[in-house]
Amino acid sequence: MKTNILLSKNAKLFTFCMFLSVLLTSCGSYQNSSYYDNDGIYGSTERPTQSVANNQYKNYFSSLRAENDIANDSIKTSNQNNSGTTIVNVYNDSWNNAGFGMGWGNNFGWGNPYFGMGWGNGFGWGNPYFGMGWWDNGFGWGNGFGWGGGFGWGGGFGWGQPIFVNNNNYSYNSGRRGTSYNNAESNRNYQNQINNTRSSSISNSRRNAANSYTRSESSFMTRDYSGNSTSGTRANNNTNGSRNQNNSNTRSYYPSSSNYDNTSSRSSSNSNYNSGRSSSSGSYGGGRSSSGGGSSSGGSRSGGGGRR
Amino acid sequence: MKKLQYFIFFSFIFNVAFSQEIPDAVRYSQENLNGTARFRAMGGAFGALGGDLSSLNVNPAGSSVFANNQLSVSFSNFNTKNNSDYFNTKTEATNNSFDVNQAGGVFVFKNLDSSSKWKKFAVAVNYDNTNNLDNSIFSAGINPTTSVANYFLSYANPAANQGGFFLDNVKKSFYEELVFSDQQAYLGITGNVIRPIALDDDNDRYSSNSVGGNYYQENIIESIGYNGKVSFNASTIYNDKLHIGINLNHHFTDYRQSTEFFERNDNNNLNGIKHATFLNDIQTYGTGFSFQLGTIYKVTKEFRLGWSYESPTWLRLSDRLNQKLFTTGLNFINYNLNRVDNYPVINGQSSTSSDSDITIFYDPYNIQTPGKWTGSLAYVFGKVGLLSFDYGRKDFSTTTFRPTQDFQGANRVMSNILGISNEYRVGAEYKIKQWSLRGGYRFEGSPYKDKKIIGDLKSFSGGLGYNFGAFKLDAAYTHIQRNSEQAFFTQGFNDGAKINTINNNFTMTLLFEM
Repeated sequence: MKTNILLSKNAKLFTFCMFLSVLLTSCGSYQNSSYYDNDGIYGSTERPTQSVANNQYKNYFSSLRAENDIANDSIKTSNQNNSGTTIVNVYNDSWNNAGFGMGWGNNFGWGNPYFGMGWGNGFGWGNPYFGMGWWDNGFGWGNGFGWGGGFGWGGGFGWGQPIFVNNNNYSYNSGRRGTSYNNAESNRNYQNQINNTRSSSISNSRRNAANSYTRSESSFMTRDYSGNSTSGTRANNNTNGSRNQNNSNTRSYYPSSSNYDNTSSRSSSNSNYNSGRSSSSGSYGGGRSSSGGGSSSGGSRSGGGGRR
Repeated sequence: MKKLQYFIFFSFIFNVAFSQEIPDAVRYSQENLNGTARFRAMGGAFGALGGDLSSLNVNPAGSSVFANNQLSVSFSNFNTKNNSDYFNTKTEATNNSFDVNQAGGVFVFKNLDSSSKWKKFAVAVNYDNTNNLDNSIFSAGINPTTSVANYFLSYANPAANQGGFFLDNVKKSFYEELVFSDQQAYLGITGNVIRPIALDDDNDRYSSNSVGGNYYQENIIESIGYNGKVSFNASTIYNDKLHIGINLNHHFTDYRQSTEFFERNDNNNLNGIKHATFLNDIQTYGTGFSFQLGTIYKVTKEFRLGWSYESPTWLRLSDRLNQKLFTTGLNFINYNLNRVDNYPVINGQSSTSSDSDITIFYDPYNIQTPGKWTGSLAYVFGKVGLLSFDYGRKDFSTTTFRPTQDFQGANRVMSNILGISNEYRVGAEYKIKQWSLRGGYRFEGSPYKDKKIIGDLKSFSGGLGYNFGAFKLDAAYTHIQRNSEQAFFTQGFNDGAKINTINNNFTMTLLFEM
């Protein structure tokens, strides 16, 4: 699923890149540089116009053409004695020994060759010997090259489907996986959850106890908040942003702290928490108590539809 | 006084607790680029050289070094062997994978206007697997003190940053309704790995149900995945001296890790756990973006300097998690009955299977990995050979999770325990007619300040190339070693095996010049 997303993104980028290449090629006064035994690191030597190797290719292909001219087909049937003998001319194709083994037939179907890079059909390595000279015809870039379709990450390389799917049950969790954000988790408070996804064999009565908390308060939090010195920082936090203001709406176990009394009336900021992310306000004590996001459990229920 | 004791105790617990996200962040911040066979054989020291598609990952200015159009594709066989030492029990596991690790093309355009100082420019598209994450680790041994129960206790009991988990939640809530830390508590309690101090609904204190010490433990980690990068590159050369280039990179990652932890308690306890198997399947996937800038300056024809900058990678990731716990033991408490009030004890032997066969999706989050600076120099001996050296610097402590308000703890810990990683790469090439002989060395410092967690990486490589003219065929062998010691669990259970990881990779590259 996600791979597809990647693919389409890449495809767009590739198309763009291809377009760019074509544009640059066709508009500029730059000549595309190509071929031969040249390692840029060691510096350029001019491209040889004809090399021995090229001659070999040329000779080979021209001889192939010549033979084809003489005998258009490789299979000749002799009628002379009615003997029905069939003579098969086997042309010694040196290419097949050259390590390509790619069935260079008559029409060069680089077909599936190498690296499956999708050099597909378009490439027009046509007749000439080994592609030499194809650029002499004016670059054939545009249509020939086929980057776009060819490269095919994703499709080609088989970073396939997720194999992770080991069951069909999924649930969305608005918290974070891991530990250090304990102080930032929002929905410590699971009251009022309605169980839609579990099988009916489980009695509803189990879920009736509303307004219960999953966690007791940390004893250290009480320490923190009972001290006047630390409550001062809480007050600052509360005034800094709306996110902290409703901390006390769902957690009521710090009645001794006057800060919470002050803020409890500001309930309009509750909606800020529905995204499932709460502010942690940076302090551990505060984090535990910032469970205003209890309402986000609604989201988690809707995500859990896979339960059968 | 008692509170103070608790406070000190739990503060300590918190400080040693390495949260789960930090290994994750390091995983997505580290590069272990294999690249083309030539790149790999020369240790990746290509910052001042260019002229190789994978070198564009080091310095984007290198594409205008190419003399001609080129396409290349590389295949690698990754062989990973992990030697594990867990309380002096030695085990090993190997993993083998074969993959297309690089594919790309560069197109070079020469300026026909010979009076211009801009001699040529090049565009390239290249894919590189920047980190192969396939791995298998098997550790086993006898832990004298720590049981997996400590992991669950750390989530269930009150601590500096959390309250205790109320026991009646196991009756009122389902696993998937809870947040992660509560889920761990839930699993531990219902699996009877930890036991409530009192069988009351509002109990929030727990103790281990696996006692006696000398626990036989196994930990198996199987992972597959990769970090991949597609670079869109452009570069040009001015006055035959100065190459300038830029990359825009698209990153993608897919990582799946299955861990299986097994514990056997051979003590003759009258109560509690005999066997526990704890399974965690994690998948993380996402995409990201980064850019790179670089230059190569030819001081003389032979002597070259390179400089490049890689921006942070902004990754957006999603997690899925599936956890299961299976236990057997004696005199378990049954939490599965529809009883509101009591917690019956089943006499004799019983077993549990966690009611958690469900995959949890989490909100996507972002990681900003550290940026990197690279300085390079190279000396080219005519057409005979070359020497090249790269130095790279990456400050892992700048790794950041976002949204930051959700990850304050993780970000703070990372800025403390992660550090600056220096990387040195040396490469050499020697040419004999069509043949090229290559060798390289690479050193990468630990991303952690404490090098025990992940050690320094040392790598030797060598390779051969043959130039057929239109084709070039390169092969490389790489040997990489690195030690690590990561806890099996992220908190409560800080023991882990000493792992010695050895990679033996073979890479083959086919280059096609046009």
